Amino acid sequence: MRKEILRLENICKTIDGVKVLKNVSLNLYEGETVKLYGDEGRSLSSIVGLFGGVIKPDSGRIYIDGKEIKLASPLDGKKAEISIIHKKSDLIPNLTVMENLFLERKNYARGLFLKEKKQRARAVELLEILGLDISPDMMASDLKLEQMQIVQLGKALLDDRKIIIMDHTHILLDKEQIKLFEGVFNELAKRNVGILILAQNLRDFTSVSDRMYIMKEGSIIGNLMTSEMEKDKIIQMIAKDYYSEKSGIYLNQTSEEVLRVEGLSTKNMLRNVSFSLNKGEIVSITGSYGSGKYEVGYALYGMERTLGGKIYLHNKRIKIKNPSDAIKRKIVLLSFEKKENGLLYNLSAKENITISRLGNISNFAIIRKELENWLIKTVYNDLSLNIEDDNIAIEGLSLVNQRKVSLARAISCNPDVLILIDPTKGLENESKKQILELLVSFSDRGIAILLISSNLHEILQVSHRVWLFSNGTITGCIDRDMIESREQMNILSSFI
Amino acid sequence: MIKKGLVNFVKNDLASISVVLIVLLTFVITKSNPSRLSFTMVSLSKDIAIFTIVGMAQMATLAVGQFNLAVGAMGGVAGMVCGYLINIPYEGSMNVDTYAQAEIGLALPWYVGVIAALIIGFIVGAIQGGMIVKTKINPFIITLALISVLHGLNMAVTRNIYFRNLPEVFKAINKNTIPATTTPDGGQATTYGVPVMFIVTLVVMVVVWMLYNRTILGRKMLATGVNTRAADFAGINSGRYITLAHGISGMLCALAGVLTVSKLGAAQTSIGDNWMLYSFASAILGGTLLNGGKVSIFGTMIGAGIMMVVNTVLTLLKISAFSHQIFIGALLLIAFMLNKGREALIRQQERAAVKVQDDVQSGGSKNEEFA
Amino acid sequence: MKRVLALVLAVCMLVVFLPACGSSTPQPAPETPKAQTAEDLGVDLSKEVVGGQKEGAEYNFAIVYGGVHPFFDPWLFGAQQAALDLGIPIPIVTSPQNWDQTEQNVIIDGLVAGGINGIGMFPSDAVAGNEKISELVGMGIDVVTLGGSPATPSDATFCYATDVGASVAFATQAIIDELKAQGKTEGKLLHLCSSLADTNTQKRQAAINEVLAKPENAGFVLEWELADTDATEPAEEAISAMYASYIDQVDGIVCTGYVNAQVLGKTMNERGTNDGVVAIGIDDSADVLAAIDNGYMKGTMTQSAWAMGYVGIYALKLLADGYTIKPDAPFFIDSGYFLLTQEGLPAYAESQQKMAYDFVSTMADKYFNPPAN
Repeated sequence: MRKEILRLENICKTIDGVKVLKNVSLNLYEGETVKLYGDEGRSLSSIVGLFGGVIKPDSGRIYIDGKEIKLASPLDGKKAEISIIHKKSDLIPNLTVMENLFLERKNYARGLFLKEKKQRARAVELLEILGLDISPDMMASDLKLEQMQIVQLGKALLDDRKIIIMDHTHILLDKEQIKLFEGVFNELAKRNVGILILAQNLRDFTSVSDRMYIMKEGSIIGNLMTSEMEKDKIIQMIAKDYYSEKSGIYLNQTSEEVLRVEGLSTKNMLRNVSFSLNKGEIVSITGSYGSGKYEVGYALYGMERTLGGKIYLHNKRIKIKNPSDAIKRKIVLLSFEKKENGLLYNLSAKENITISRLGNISNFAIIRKELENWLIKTVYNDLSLNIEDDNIAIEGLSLVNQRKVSLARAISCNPDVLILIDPTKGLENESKKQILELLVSFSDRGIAILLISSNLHEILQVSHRVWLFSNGTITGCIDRDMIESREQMNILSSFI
Repeated sequence: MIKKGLVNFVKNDLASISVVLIVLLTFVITKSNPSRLSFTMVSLSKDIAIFTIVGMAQMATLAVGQFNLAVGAMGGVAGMVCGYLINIPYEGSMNVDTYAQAEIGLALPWYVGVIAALIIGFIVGAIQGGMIVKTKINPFIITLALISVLHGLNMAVTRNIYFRNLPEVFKAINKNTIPATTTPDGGQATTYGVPVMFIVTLVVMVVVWMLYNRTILGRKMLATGVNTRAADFAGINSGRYITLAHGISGMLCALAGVLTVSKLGAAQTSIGDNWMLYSFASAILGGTLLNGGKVSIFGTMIGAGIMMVVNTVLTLLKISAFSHQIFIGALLLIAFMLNKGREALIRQQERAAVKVQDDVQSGGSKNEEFA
Repeated sequence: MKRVLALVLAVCMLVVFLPACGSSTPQPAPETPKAQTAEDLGVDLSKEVVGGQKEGAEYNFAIVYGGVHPFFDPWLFGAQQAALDLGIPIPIVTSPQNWDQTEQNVIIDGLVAGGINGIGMFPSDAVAGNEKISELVGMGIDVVTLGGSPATPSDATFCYATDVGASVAFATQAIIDELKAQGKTEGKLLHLCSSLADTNTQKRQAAINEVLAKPENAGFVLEWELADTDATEPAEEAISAMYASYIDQVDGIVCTGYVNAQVLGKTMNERGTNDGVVAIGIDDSADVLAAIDNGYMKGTMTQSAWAMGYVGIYALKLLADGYTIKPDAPFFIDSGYFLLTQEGLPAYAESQQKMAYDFVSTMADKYFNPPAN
């Protein structure tokens, strides 16, 4: 029987009031490659943080080689003989590749002096194995993101450790590079190294994995052997409650076109994106990290410079130079891609809600309190939002109420088009549902919603249509009636 | 108990620093020679008046999440502009040949000089803000460079002369008090009132308070200070408000410069040389957050008060003036620690509040809004 | 951005702390030996003043320097000696850190709150200082200005200071005379002057030009003017640059800043030669005195810094005793200057004190009206 080298037992962790890990238990044997697939990047990242000693679990135990260990600081993480390939490079930017590789390797140093010749030979050899066409003297800061990943892999190889953990969330590796990693992992597995890959993406590394854990909303819902790994089965596991819950959400019928985009392009990302949006319609845009799905929203909102393309609102061509233009045209965007972008912390809930509408509640640039209160009241009624003290600082609200305050701001602008980026990111199930129901209620009253999300769950629940994004353009479209079909599900899953 | 007391001390921004100020003032009052007390208070209140405005000038940039190292240089330039405009060219000898240069000046009415200085201050500040926004260079570099540029310009253009034949009405801002100081003929002044300068500052404070609490401009500047990108998302043209905030900062510097001219009885290039540290200390002690989005106007005055009264206290304690700076520096450190404490406290409150609400939510009140 | 700010503040704090530490103990001026009494020097002080404390009069005096500068060091000893001679409380002697009127004002306010009733001050700023002086006089506090003059008209009782223009004119003429004595008919002079912002600098520049404009001095020109060298670093830079490039063209150097004279003296001492330059320094820093002793510097223009403190306290005592300044007394009272050369060195300290004693022995009669009763 193979030896168990790593085991997590009932790990729980709450971050910012959200349970990102719920009773997570998993194990890893020597020589085994295990993939942990989940749709919440945050949960996956906190597992990496756990091993790095950056995140302390609220409860639960970690065993390495059968012995319980405590990882209280990054130093403990280093001592625990675990190599981590981070999604953000942990290379030191102003050292060369070689210096980074040998930073912690004592046997390449004699006392205080480095055995440079030996190091160089080894580094050149290693880079060749890794298929990296770079000089060992290159500065780490000059590397491309994916090159950094590979150098980190090299570091892990040099470490010669029993456990390698790879954070593959939000990563851009091309097929060749994935292949390279897979080859190295195969090789390592033969040397009895245990490998744990955390991914948000169903495709990558599935072929080299011996097992796959499926994680949903912070708990592990499945542990599949290679033979059981069928995409649609997994998707169904993830989307299970979609089938059971969708009946609760009724989507209206729509026809009248509100927004049409023709040939939208930006300098870095978007290539010739065209689509249209109807009144009261919820359209989701999804795609992997770096596919350009966020950039569509930003470009429409005037936060990214467009190179070409025409935007029509109610069949009239408009130009949007900046967000305040967009708001004037009744196009509002809320982004929760990063927590701090969605709200103005330090300001009160009230101030947050009315900030985009100050012109309408003031006389000669002086804000009229009674008008402000009236606006707040109206919006609260609209959203059935219930905040006792609206002078409370935003930080004092629960996450879901913070989200609702953002939505309230958007609604206060009376939008025709609402662009939402990751609106339920980091929320708990119950809260997610509240937000999604609000979205549906918005669509009922005729607001066209562009939902840009990487959460399959919410996409399935509330979309009339789903557009699939890759390489900066729309590469697929799934209609509501077709979402349930298996074929479409397969297409969908290949993008996630 | 002690911990709780400490938390309260930090939390009640104004209360805590008011206590410090009151303690210091009590010390001055008890230790001062009684016959000199009213004079001391008048002197102090004038200093406080000027440095409150200097502090507010810094506060205006802190509010948008930036800072202005060139407060003093801006005040100096504005002061000289004001001096040039209102100086009455002196006919005949000024007794000392080297002051003959003060014979230039436009002898315009005093308010023209003041308004012109305020406008110049605003323009210089707005240019600084515009440069920061357009070039995206760190405000540290730009405002640091502007210190030298402005000070150098001031020296080069004016050749370091003094404008000291200023209209009496203008000097009265410094000299007069309300009610008027009574001076029995030839003797010493007996009763004092509130200096005009202090009243000017109170009025400006009310205006600034209105700006941040009642106007669109103020609200949007605060929003910009919280997080520029989040403000952009909310449809605020953050660049414009950063520029305006620097403009307002420049304008307040100019006002402080003009008041200093009145206080010194002469416009000279050295005005503003020592403002920078005090500006940060007053604003931060007063409860303005370093990373923007929160201002405290009354607090700034208390902060300025502490910084000024401490000097008097030290002199009264017969502590060598050579060591005064140590105390000023220590105060500054305390100010920044308080700032840090406040930020930590806000985060702690946030967590606590979220936890309470989570508990409430999971405790049965689920989904009430959608039931 | 916050990090940058923290860095700036750290640097500022350092800048603030270092001088504070460095200068917290005033160093005794080495050239001021234990003071001798007036009697030792054979001077007769007017009796009514020396006659101890007057009934009901307060003698809470303070001396306030214009800023931190070694020139002020002997003031402390002069002031203390005066208090001892007069039998009054030792005065407070203090200084703002920078030459900044606002800073000086704050210190004065503190002194006033503490009950001071007479101040002898070097106004940090000639013009802006007047506003404070007026306030003080309005309060009934006696103010005499010492060393540096406030702009006139001023409410101060008088100003006891060296006529800086006359002093530098004397030095310039002395250099030219020396060059002429060496047989030269033309020569290039260099002026090491202090801060351009200092009004005294402007007076000195004018005085030098006046001397050179005289017909008998034709042929001698002011070729270089190294301004803003009254601080150690700029002075070192300017002087070493001069030695590196054009020292052979320089015939005479007139120094008008305490520090640049000191640095020049030090440089000459280190080089062990004056390179054929006739140099006259200013004030009495140890380096300058050593350079004169070694024969590298021709001399130095000195005034009695010790006398500043002594005369200041003496005059304040007179005013506190009810003396009033005569209406026809001049505002500027020249404290005198002299060219200290190698011969004068041994008796230098004594002569400084003698200047003070000589002056106060006649001061009451010359400039003051006795109390009315």
